[in-house]
Amino acid sequence: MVTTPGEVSKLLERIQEGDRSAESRLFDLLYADLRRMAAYHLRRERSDHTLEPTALVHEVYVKVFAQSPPETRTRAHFMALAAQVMRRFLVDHARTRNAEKRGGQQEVLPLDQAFVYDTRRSDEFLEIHAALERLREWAPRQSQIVEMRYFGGMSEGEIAEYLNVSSRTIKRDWAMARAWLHAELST
Amino acid sequence: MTPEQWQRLQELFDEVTQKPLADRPTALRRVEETVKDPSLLEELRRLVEHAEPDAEFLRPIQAKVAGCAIQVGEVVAGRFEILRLIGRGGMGQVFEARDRKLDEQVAIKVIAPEFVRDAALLERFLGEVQIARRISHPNICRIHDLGEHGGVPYLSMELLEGETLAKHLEQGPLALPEWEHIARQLFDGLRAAHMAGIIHRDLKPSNLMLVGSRLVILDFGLARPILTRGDSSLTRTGTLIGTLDWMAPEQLLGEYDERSDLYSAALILLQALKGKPSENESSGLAGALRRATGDTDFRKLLPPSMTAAWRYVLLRCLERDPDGRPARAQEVQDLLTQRRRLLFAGLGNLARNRWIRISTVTAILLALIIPGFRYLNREGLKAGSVIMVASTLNSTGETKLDGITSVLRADLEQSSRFNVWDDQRLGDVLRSMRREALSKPEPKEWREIAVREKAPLLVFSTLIRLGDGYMLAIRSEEIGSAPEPPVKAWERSFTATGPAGLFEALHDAANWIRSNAGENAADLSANSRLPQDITTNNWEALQLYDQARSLNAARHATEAIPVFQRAIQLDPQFAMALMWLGDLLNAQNKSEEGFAYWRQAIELAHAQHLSDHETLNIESRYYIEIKDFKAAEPVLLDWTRRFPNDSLAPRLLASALFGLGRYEDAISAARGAQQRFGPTVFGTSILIRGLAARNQLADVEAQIQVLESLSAHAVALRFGGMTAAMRGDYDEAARLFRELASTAQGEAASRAIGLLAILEADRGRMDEAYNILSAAISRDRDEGEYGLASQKTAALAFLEGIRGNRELARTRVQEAVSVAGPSPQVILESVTILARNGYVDDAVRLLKRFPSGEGPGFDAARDRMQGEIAAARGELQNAVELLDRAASTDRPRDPKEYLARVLDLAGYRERAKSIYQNIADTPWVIWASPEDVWPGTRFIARQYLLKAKGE
Repeated sequence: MVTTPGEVSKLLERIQEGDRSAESRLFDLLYADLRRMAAYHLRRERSDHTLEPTALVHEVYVKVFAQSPPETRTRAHFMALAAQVMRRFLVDHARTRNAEKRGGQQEVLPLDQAFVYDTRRSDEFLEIHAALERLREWAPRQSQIVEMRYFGGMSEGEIAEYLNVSSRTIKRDWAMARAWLHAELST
Repeated sequence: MTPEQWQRLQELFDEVTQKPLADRPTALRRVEETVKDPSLLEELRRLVEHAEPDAEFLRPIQAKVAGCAIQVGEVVAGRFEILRLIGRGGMGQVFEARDRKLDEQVAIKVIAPEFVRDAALLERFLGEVQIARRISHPNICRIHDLGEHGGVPYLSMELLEGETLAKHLEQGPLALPEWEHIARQLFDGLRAAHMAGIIHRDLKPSNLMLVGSRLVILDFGLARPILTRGDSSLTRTGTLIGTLDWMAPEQLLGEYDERSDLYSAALILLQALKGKPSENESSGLAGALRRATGDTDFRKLLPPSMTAAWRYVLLRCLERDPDGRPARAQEVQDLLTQRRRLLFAGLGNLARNRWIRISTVTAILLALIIPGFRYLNREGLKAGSVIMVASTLNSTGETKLDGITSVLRADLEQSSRFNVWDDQRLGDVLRSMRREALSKPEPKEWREIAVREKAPLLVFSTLIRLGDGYMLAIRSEEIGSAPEPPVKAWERSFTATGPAGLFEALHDAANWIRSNAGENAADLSANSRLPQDITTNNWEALQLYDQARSLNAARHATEAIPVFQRAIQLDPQFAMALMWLGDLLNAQNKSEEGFAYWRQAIELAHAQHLSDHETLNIESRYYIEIKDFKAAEPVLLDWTRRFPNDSLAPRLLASALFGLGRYEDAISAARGAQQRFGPTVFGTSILIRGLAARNQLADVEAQIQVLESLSAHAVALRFGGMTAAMRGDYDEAARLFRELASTAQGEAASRAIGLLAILEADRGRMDEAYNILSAAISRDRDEGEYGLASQKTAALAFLEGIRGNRELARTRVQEAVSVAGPSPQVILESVTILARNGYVDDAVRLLKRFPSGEGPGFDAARDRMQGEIAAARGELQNAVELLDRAASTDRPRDPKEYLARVLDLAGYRERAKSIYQNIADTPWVIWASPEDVWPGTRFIARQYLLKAKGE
């Protein structure tokens, strides 16, 4: 693991203080870790290891926070970031997969050995990803709520805390965004 | 869209969607009245329409990253002091903790948040844990408690100090004694779990813990739920499907049961003998796929020093098809212990039943020594193939279970794809092998019989006592052109708790054999009545039934009858026994009794006491027996349609068509069956008779050769004589019948002598015929063939009548009908002879003894007798009417001499002449069924025609 717990903690502190560059730095770190770990787990000696993207992020989290649990707000930050990481990870993976299917030569994580993705699901990632990008143009909050909930698995309460809005707002935003996405994906 | 438009849209959307679903259209209309922007309205309508998507839509793909619900240093449930993180398992983290209450170290396992997320999944998991908690076994990690901390479930478990098998194997492979010790513990742990109804699903060296020499299976009931077919939430999540390296092939399809654990266990044990996987070995998905496609030959991986029993167990557990594996871990232990016991203990007490002893040991040794058989040949056998069921080896010492073979056969006979070999041929086959007809063939001889009888699949079965229950071991062998070795073999054993449970075990066995041989699931389930429903659930009755059938197969029909009767006394609803009894009694001329049994059987068949197959069989055969071929035809057509692979149905159809006088149709049906299923004696006989009816004598000769090829020399001789006689070559015919009389035994020999008499009479040598018959009658009586003697005596009475010896004719008739249960044919003939010789009162009295059978055969016979009596009384017009009616219901092939005779008496000379002419010109009318025709019928016809010409 390249990312050290100390480094993550430091970055999280800076994020807390409003440092946007710290956020992108942490994102990059986590993303790199995610990929490295995926490759690591797929090596023979760990091939009996069950593997899920979620579990990977989780593992990073445990390594970083196992000894000193973060306060709630830091945790929410971490999770929101993890949601973005996850989104990127899955979207990248789906893209390389699709590229591979078309005979592309892009660098491909050897994930298919271990992941059995529902192919519809992988297309769904890309579609939702694209729709969220559009939605962000006029409704950035809704777009982010979907990201945190769908890719990050965060609860309404956690999202509300992170975004500093009421739970009711989250509920309304979510319902509306979900209807809109459903409509978009159905056509 | 602009943020402002979206804002506005959201307000309207909220307004509408706050309403219950039913009120939304109204709410929407109200909004439409106030809002004028059409594009906004259109978008609103679209969103409202999509406001309630499927719950699956946008379900989070990522687990809640809530971190650990439990932290080091924390005290959980006021009791468990969390000391350190030991590791991370498939389901979450594991901590070492100190139980303050009991003052001992325990392991605390926290369930990963992603498992808490899904309520259904969590419930399933908790359910399994509840069961797993109840398992207390040294080879299974004990789960103490299930609790909840901060909304996340955790488990407290036995804390084990040791290393995992995975770690242990890094030091190199296990030595055989250590291996065996571990293997036993692994199967023992699995047995305890399987008995509790828990499947591990994710066995791997890293969750087998070695604590000293003790093996402990971890994570029982904790295996992360694997993708399950039909479980859409899991499929949609698209997670990993499990630990590929140790996975059973069926798990790739998302299917698993106890047998998947056995596969994984055997695979791990195999690995333990080799140490770490080598570099060129495929692992992960590639390895799993390789195993699933059957590319791996496990036999080569077994060390030569391994015991045969372990070898056998491992290979069985590694069968690619779960059906080939032991059903559960208990069975593995049975295999290990039972086999040893039988092999060693068995040799000690040979005296009790030498045959059973030797065969049991042979069968087991065979099973152990012959490796062979891996995955099933899914294409299976050709449709219409014959499955031969060897007699079950019953080594339980309980003779009442001897009927097991019949149960298995009856169950298999339901198949619409295969034919079950007719075990009634066993006696004849054994005789042709120069073996005693009642002897029991050894496995080797069964294979020989299978080759002779062209049965590509031979099923052996052995019943063994197993504690309080039984084990039925089935071995299915594919037989090639040589008896040994079998091309392929499959084995499986079925356990049952008591005699009643044996039926289910047999049914499972039959289904396994059927699917193994290539019957598809749809056909299988369409014809899968339970064997006790189509036979009886009374084992004593089954034993008698089986015994009676063996007697009959050995041609001891007379002895078989009382045994069948005893079986029916035990279960009056035993339809198959009733059918057999009816059949045998009919063959013994006790048709009244026979038909009564038969009708009972048919009634029971309609009340569903038989399988569909057996119902069609019995019904069509009943119609053929009562000569109601018109009724038989549709039943037979139905049978051939529903069971297109049945080899008997088309032959019976040929026989019915022959009875209907549709000879060309009969020939083509019989030929078709011969080409499709190979020749049989019965089918070829029908074909020969059809060909003879069309006077195609050259084809008849060719078919006689077919009979010879079937070793049916006696039948060939009979038809050879018939053909010679039809050609007018009486000397050749006489030679063949004489040969038959001297080589055949019992009934066949007696019938051959009868044929000689008929031959002499046909060429006009009535005295010779008379002498032959007289001699034959005393011979029949000496041999106890009273039925045949009665038949010949009636023929002799007829000849006396022709000679003008009225008194003697009457005496002979009295002799003929004095036997117990004279056949309807004998009564018909006797009444006719009495009437024609002027003994009208006697005839009327005897007529009353004619059985009340139904069907055209009986109707025609009754009309004939009434007609003869009417003629004797001088009521000629009435006689002509009755006999005309008889002739039209009678079998087309009957010469109908009776009608010609009365037509002549009544003055219808031309009609009489034309019938006589037909008889004189067509030798076949005699030879189609010579024993049903007066001796010298053609001679009489020729005399008549001569006389008519002279006039």
